[in-house]
Amino acid sequence: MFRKHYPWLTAGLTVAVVAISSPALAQQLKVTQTIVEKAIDQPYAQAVAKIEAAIKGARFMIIGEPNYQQMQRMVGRERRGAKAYFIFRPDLGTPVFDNDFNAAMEIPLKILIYEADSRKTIVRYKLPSSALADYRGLGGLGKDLDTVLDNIVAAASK
Amino acid sequence: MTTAGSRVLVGTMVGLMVGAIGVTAQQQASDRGMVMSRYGYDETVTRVKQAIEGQQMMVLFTADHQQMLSMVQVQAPPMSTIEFFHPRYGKAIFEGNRDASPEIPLRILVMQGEKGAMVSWVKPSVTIGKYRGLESLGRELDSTLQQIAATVTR
Repeated sequence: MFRKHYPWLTAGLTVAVVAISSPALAQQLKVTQTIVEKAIDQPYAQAVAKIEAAIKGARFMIIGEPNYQQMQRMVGRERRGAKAYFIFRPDLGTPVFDNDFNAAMEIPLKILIYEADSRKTIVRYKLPSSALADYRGLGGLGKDLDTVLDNIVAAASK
Repeated sequence: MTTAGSRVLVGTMVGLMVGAIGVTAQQQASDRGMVMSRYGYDETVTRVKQAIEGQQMMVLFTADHQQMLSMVQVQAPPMSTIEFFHPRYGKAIFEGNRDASPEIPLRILVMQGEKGAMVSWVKPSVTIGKYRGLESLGRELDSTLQQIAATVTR
């Protein structure tokens, strides 16, 4: 039952086990009821590659990756590297649509990555538990996804 | 019940829920906008995208939920999330209160119900406007989304 409906979570927990076995280097900068912000002590390009690998390792699909650095140049603003990953797992759709199809508004999940300096990268995302809080029957799923995203960042921090 | 059977049931339930929502589609919750479209689903998606570009914003991508759910054998009605934005708003957010950055790009959901296609969105005054310093931007974008949605009601 659990594996059938939450195979993505199983993958996420696998990431968690890997993360626990090694010291996580992500430094938590900010956690509100809505937003999580963490610093990774790695250069931007390296952190991006690791985040991408961790996302795929948790069996998410990357369905969009806007480059905010390029977009900001369009309005004359120079900034360091910045991009987002829009991620989704089709099997995640089953519990979402089973409980409250309106929550499609919150899909895909987003992870933002910013270059802080030459050696530090910032990862920021909206807590799924916050995003899904107002939808019927999805509170538990949101909390589970909080853990999955936390594990993705932790896995990328090694 | 077989797995395939349960997935068909899920799809049917989604269809029924979408239909039920269609009855009250003109109603708007305080944090959400919703309109019934005068057009079919595909035409509605096209018109929404054109309206977004008419507001000088960029469609970043469209997530086709029906297609994605079909990967796990769920039969869902046509449903897409359109993600869009403009860098000038990104600049305002990055410089005004970067905590709000995970709230962008903006999203509009187009879905097919029993009564026809409908368009819904969470108001930017709720998503972006809740961050200090971005209240007026949220209200401005509320108006923009309302104008985009209005293009499928006339």
